[in-house]
Amino acid sequence: MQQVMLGNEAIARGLLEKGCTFAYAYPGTPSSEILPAFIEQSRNHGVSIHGHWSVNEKIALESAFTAAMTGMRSAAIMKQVGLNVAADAFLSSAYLGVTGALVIISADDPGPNSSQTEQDSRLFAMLAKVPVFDPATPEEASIFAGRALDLSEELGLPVMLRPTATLCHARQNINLKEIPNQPRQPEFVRQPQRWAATPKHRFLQHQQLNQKLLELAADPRFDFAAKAEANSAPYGIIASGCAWSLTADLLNSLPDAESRQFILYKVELPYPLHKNAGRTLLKRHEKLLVIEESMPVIEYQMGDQEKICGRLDGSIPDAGALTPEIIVLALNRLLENKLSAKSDSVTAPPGKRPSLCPGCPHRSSFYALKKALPKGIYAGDIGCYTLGINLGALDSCLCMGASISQAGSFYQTFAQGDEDIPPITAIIGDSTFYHSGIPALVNARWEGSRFVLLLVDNSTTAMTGNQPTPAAGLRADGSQGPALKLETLLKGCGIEKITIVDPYQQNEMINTIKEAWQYAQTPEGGIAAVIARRGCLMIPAERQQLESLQISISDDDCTGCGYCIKAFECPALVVRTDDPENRVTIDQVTCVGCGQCLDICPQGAINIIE
Amino acid sequence: MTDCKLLIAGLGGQGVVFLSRLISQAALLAGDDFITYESHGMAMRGGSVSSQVKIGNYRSPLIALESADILLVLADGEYERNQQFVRPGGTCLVNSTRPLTGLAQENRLGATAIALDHDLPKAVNLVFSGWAAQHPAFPYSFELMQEAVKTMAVSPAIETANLKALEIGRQQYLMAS
Repeated sequence: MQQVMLGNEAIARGLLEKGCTFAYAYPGTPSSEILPAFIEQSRNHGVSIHGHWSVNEKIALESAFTAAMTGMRSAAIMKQVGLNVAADAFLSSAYLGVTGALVIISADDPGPNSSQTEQDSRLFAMLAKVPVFDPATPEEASIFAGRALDLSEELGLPVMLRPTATLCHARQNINLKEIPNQPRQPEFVRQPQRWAATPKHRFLQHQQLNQKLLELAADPRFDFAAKAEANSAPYGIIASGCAWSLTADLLNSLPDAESRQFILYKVELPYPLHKNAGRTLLKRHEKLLVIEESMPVIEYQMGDQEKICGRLDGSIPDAGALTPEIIVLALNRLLENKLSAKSDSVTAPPGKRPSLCPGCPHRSSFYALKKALPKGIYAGDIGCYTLGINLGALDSCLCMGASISQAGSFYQTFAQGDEDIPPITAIIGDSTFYHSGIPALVNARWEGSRFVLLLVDNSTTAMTGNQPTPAAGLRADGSQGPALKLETLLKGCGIEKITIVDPYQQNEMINTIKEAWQYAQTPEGGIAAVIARRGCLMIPAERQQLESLQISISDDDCTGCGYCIKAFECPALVVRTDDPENRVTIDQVTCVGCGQCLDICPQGAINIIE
Repeated sequence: MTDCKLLIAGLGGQGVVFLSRLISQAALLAGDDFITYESHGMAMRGGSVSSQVKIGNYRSPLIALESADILLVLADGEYERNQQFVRPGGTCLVNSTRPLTGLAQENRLGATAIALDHDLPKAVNLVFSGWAAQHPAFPYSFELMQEAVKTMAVSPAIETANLKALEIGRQQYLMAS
């Protein structure tokens, strides 16, 4: 049987087909669709599983690891920067090993398209001494997810599956196998020396881990030199994952005379790299080109650098996503520019940048923040509201949860100086606050920092596709858990000044933020929280509840000054292409009728159509 | 076996992903192999997006420069940037009411205005594909696209509206030719 699936859905399918019954994840592009697909497909097949949106990736990995300590097959699912959050658990888990199976799925984002770094999770796996599979197509990702589970149980080690965005969001027809329904019984064998190993035992575990990796590097199943026919082509290309599929398509598109200069080898397990395969290919070919994303993981392990080109000698650029053109350039270096394929892209105008959706409550929050504290420092965070940068209301974005630590530290540095302390605001969304904002808040209060904590609470994880947060208590499988309100948490963290406001009430919002900063500066003050609470309009129920107004812009009053677009940047506010005065009009298809722009225009040209 | 590489460009929220799924659904009905790529994440918030559909024996969904057989553009601002991916002799079809450099008038349709006239503001992509499916370069027949719309519809009301939009697009092509 076949079914068309997204790469991420195929991964979920592969996990289920090989008896994985526990999956923990924190949403993040490009990995977000794996957990929902895991839950949905298990339900469609009547298989009992446990799938959960963990509050962050560290917790996801700790939970999945523990399931694998009791003999279960489990998965921890995240994006590449999520693995940074989970690093402590990840590196330690390799020493302890598992009795069931643990697959860590860390989805990379070369480009980057929706991330703060282009890091390569395979290199992280190398640091952790964890074997890693690099699938090349959605179908292969499904198979490799299962192979990773099998290998994990076979070796008693965690194993990583590393897809990239190109694969996660590729769609193709997948061959399906049966999903077994043979639940295992959990079994926990008390072995404190293993599961709670002290440094002395950790040293022994490290030696055992090294031994397993040595054996794996000699395992014939991963001999990538054996799988292609040896012939007299002068050049060998070693590739893994999506870099392999891109190269394979490119070689197929070349004339025979050109493509027969190369043999393409596919590495399925980039770490630990098969020892003899590399040596064989070094003997077999004049030159080897290594093509991989996004860092030279295979290349580092290959040895003899004289014969090898790739990222280390500059044949492939060391930043940015791979494109067919980059590969053409690299092949052309080997063939001394005899390749017929095109590699020079035309300088084209930049694309349109993303912006907050029409009616987004964050836009109103940012507008109010700028009005209330115009000379402030705006410490931002990760989520849709990072787009506040377009509105000039976001000055920093380091990593998940950093807005609060940064606001605290901005305060401390200015408090050391002689000048007045500028108004400082931390802007963080609800999901990010649960993820890693809470320890930062406990710390900032303890440290005595003073700032406004603007919690933009749209009651969802919007950027990644509206996954639920602990606020409402709704779980990944749709069941209802206990709700934990942000204000309860804030109180628990010792925040005494908490105001909840609807960001659509602009004047109230502006006054609340002003008051919050005034309070923060008073002797008894400190951190003043403003919860800007309004649901994301991507949630259908929120959209239905919105009282939609018909908005128009009066041609007589609009002067074409463009202030509304600069200060508010709603996608429904568009400059008329047919107008020499550049007046603005409402794109009625895009406009949701929230009416938030009504008071923006200095000329009062934006009105409700009665 | 069909062999066709399509690049679909537009802005986040315009239905670029839906259109790529519709064409791959048609490929599935035709029994063709395919691989597609969809934009997700931050780019979906109104920014430039593109989807690739490669029908035939392919492993990667990415389309190289000068290799797309067809470029479908839902927002005309995206035309210039994506033109370079079309192979010599390939076809560009653009949702636009204004003249565009290097594009014949018969290769553009003001699908947004037409969809609005018919009170189908959410079906611009379907009006456009109904029109595009009539073009000789398009890999599948209009009837197959209708079948694809039917198999993908999540409710009878959506099916009716989408089929209507598709037909409106087709009528536009027939009127012009």
